[in-house]
Amino acid sequence: MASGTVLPEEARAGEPVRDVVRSVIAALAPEELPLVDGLRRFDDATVVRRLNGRSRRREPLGFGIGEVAALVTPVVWLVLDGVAQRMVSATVDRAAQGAAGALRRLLRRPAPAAQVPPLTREQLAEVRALVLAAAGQRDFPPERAAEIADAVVGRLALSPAPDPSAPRGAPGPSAPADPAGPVGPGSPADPQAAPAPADPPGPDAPGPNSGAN
Amino acid sequence: MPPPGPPRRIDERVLGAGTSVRFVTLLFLLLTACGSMMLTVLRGLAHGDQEGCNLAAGVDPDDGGYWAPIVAVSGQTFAYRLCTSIWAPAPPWWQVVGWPVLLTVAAALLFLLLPLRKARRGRVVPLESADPEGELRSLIDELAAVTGLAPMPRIVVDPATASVNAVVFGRTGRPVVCLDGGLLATRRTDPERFRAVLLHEFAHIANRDVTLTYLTVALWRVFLVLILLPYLLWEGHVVQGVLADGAVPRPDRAMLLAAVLVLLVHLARADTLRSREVWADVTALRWGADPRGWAAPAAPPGGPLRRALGPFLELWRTHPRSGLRQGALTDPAPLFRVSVLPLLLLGTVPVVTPTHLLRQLAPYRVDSSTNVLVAIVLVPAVLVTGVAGVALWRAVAYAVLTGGRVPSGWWAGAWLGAGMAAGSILNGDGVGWAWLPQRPAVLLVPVLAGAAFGWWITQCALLWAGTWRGRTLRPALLVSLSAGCLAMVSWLTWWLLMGVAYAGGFTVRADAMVRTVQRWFPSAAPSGDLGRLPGLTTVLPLLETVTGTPLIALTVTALWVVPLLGWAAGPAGGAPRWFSAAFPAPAEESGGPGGPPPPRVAPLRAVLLPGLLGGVLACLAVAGLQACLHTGQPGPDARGGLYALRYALLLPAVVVVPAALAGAAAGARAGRLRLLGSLVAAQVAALLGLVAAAVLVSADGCVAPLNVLSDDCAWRPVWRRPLFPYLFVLNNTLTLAAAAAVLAALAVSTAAAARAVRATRRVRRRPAGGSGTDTGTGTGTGTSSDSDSDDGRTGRRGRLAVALLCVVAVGGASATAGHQMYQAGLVTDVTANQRDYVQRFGLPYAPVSEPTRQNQVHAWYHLGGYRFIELAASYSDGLTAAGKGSSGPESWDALDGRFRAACTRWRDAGTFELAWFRVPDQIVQADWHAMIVRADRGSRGCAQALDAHDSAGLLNALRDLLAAGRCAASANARIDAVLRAGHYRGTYRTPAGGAGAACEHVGQ
Repeated sequence: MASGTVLPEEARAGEPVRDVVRSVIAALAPEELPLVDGLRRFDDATVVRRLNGRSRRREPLGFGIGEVAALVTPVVWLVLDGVAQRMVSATVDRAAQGAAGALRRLLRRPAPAAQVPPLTREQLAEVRALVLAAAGQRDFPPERAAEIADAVVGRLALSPAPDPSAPRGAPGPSAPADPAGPVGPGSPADPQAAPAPADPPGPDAPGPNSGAN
Repeated sequence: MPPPGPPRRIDERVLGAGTSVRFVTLLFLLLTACGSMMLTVLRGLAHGDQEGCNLAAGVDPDDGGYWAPIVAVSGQTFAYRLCTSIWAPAPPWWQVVGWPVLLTVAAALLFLLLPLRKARRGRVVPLESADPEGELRSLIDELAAVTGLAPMPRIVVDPATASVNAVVFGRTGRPVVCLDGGLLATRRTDPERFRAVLLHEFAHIANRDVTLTYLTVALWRVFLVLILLPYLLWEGHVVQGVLADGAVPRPDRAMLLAAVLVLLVHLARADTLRSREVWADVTALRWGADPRGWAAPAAPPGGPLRRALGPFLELWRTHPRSGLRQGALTDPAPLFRVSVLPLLLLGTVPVVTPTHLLRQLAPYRVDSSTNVLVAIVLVPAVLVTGVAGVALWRAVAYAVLTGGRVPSGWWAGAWLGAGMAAGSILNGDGVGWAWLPQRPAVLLVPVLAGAAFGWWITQCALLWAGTWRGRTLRPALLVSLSAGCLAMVSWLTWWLLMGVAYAGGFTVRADAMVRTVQRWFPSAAPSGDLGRLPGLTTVLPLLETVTGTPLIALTVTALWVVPLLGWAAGPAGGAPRWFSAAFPAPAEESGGPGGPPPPRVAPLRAVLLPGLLGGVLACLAVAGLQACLHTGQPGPDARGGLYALRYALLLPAVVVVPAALAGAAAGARAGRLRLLGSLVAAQVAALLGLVAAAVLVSADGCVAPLNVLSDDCAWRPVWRRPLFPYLFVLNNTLTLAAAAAVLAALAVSTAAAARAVRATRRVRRRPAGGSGTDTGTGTGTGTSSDSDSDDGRTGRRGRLAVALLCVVAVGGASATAGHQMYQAGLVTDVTANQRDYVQRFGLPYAPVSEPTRQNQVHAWYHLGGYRFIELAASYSDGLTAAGKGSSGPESWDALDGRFRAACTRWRDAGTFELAWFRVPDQIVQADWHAMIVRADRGSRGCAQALDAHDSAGLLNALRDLLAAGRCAASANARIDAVLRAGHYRGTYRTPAGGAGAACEHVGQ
């Protein structure tokens, strides 16, 4: 603590990602609420893994026309989860994180829901950029992508203002800018992976660990 | 004339889809293949020396052919069994049977686990989780009520999948429908799609696709892991071993078989699944789905390569392209279309699967009779006839219902036959390890047989479509396919037994055939010109194989009785009832025109009359033949041989010629049903001719000018008549008459096609002229004169004649088939078979290289030959020892005590040639054979001389036995020389030299 290390629970203080997602989807694409409600039955890791996974190949006895719906839910959920994970990895001691995870598995307790902490204005701007990139990758038209990004940022802006003393773990360039890939680099599933900037940060963007120590 | 409108929609269920049979065929293929493939692995792991036994039998490993190795092994069956039982024993039978059982159990377990895995937590959620308000549930219940599904399937949601899709899994009794997230999200924006997808999945359940599909998936996956993987590993190990020895591996048919099996199962399964998708679409449409629900997103434009490969890539997909599916919604033609590629793949199954089963059986039973082969081909024949037959019947039904062109069926059948030819190449039947058989042209026979099969099935379908009175065609389909199945059984029996042998170089010697004929027809007269009889070594063996096919007479009878029954029923009169069942909506409601007229069928007398006239002609021809033969009748003791053979060959000929004429006449009068008309007429004529022949032969001797075999009048039933091969005449007459009918129908069809072409040209030159010429492309099956003058109804007398003909034909053929199968039993006499083989085909010494000959002699000696040489040497030593110590005249009792035991031991040498292989070196074999002949003669003579107190006889016998010992020593010495020349160690026994190893060959 004296060295500035923050416990996972403290790092996650904020609003659960799934709640933010539901709120955004309810406002933006209410027809997807059944999906969000269904996804909420899974833990965060499962949701991210499934949403990142490839669309199911043609199965025997499927309908098989091959159309894929342009869904907002994966865009929002994956970006916000990436933000949450980056914040955790930026602030939490890896050893403590690992120990907590092992203890949790030992006690068979479910993982705590990922939470999005209150973000600064700069961080919100970066979140917006991430949403735009993710929506663009999923072939949303620019207008719709902007609409989604604005809705996400608007929803996050309603959260309480960040504590100035809180670590400045920005969403970072390695947040899931590539939602189609596996779990994003830097996520708990791959803590050793180097960040792979899909979108180079601006000169003011803080480094991944800039506020951690 | 009603105004043209959209065609009335046909109920696709007018006939069954045949999907279950297709799936069962795949399952059967996998189950039979697994035992055979694992037997290969198990035998390989046992490190047996089957190659050594082949070498010892005199097989040339460099000979890629089929016939020479077969003759070498089959002519020495006993020795081969002894060798393999010691050096390459088959694994315990339960290990072979265990694999299909294991595969089945593992597949059943996987089948039960698959739905659990698909519906596991973390992948799907219950519908209630995504639909707390119950809105979706009520909509789904409403759709399910339309379909009448019971019980209601379990619904789950895969919220993480964005595709607008759903899938059903589980089993038909307990299905689970999984809705993708994308489908739920677009439910409001695209309600037509939502309904279409749901109804499509429900249709899969209602059409009973779920269990069969996932059972096939489970079996295939288990097969890949449990069978194919070990098999490929073993094959890889073998190839690696060959490469490690510095040799080049031969083109390996086993690997090809595995590859083709994978290809075949994958393509056949994909094809079946594609048709099930269209079925589900059409069912969903019938339940009220909106065709707009099948609108597909525009596909990205592909490059020229992709466009060119499109049809090929389509074959691998489990779903048809969207254009085809949308088209099927308006016209279900794809569900009635016959595709040739699936038929090609299907054609391999009835050839590959019996071979797999025979390979599993062969190590345990070498004495299986033809009946066992009939039993083995029965299941594949049923499956293949079911799949191909249903497909062809559906195509005909669709053409009849829509007034379109009726397929001829021969083209599809030819593809089926091509599959059989390909399957034979794949198996290596008749091929050895070479890629093509010695006579590749014989592979055209299955293609022709397949074409005739397809033609017959199609014509039957067309005939019954016009005469069947029931609400559904299924009973008629069943009856026709039963006859077709019988034909397939007979065909496969013949092909696997003899056809592949012909392809592989089957050759019989003239002297062997002369001996065979003399055995059939014993005669006091010399064989004379028998050896120079044309066709003695080509046609006669072929006719003999037809005689030996047990169900052939019954098959041919079924092939004409079934259509004759259809003809006897006569036209249905107006629209048949099955027509109305095929059009679910009345013409007025659908707004379309009424259905086309039912196919016209030529009247019964158009085919029966030529048959009866041909029969009369055949009767006269038989009587004429008898009279002709009577003029050259030899004495009572000389009526066998060439005389009896000539009678047996000419009798079918004089019956078949009028039958062919009758067939041609009927074919010309039968409209489009030329093949059936020709077949019925030819067979009726043949039947009458055969009845006349049976009467004349049974009463031979009673009408002096017609006497052929007897001079005294007595009733001798034809099937027990000496010097008359009843089965030979019956089976060959019926088969040749059927073949003649097919040729006659072909000729008539060709002539009709030529006439049609000329007529078309005339019409084109005079466009304003009449257009009443029948080009044969419609569904009309009767001739114009028939339709003008006769409504085609069959009179009472006609039906009576048909009933009588059918009873006589079916009764006679069934009794013959039953008797023939009873006589054949389940096992054959291996000794007699081996003797027969040697008599017919000999055991020729193929020219081989010197190293190969040395290897063969080495295998012969070390795998067992040395034991027999040692035995002969011990007999010789025993006799020498018995002869020592004689110092003057002895009493017969003393001589008996001294020599009888030694003489008796030598008698065992007579079995050496049966128990072990002939020596693969001609010079050594001459010594060996001389030893056996002298030993046999000497041991018998010795015993007789001792019994008769014949001192001269005893002396001769002992000389023979001593000579036998010298021949054994000579053989040992020569084998030693051959082995040492091949850089092997010499014989265990030191070779004797000089006079002690001088063998006087028999006859010297």
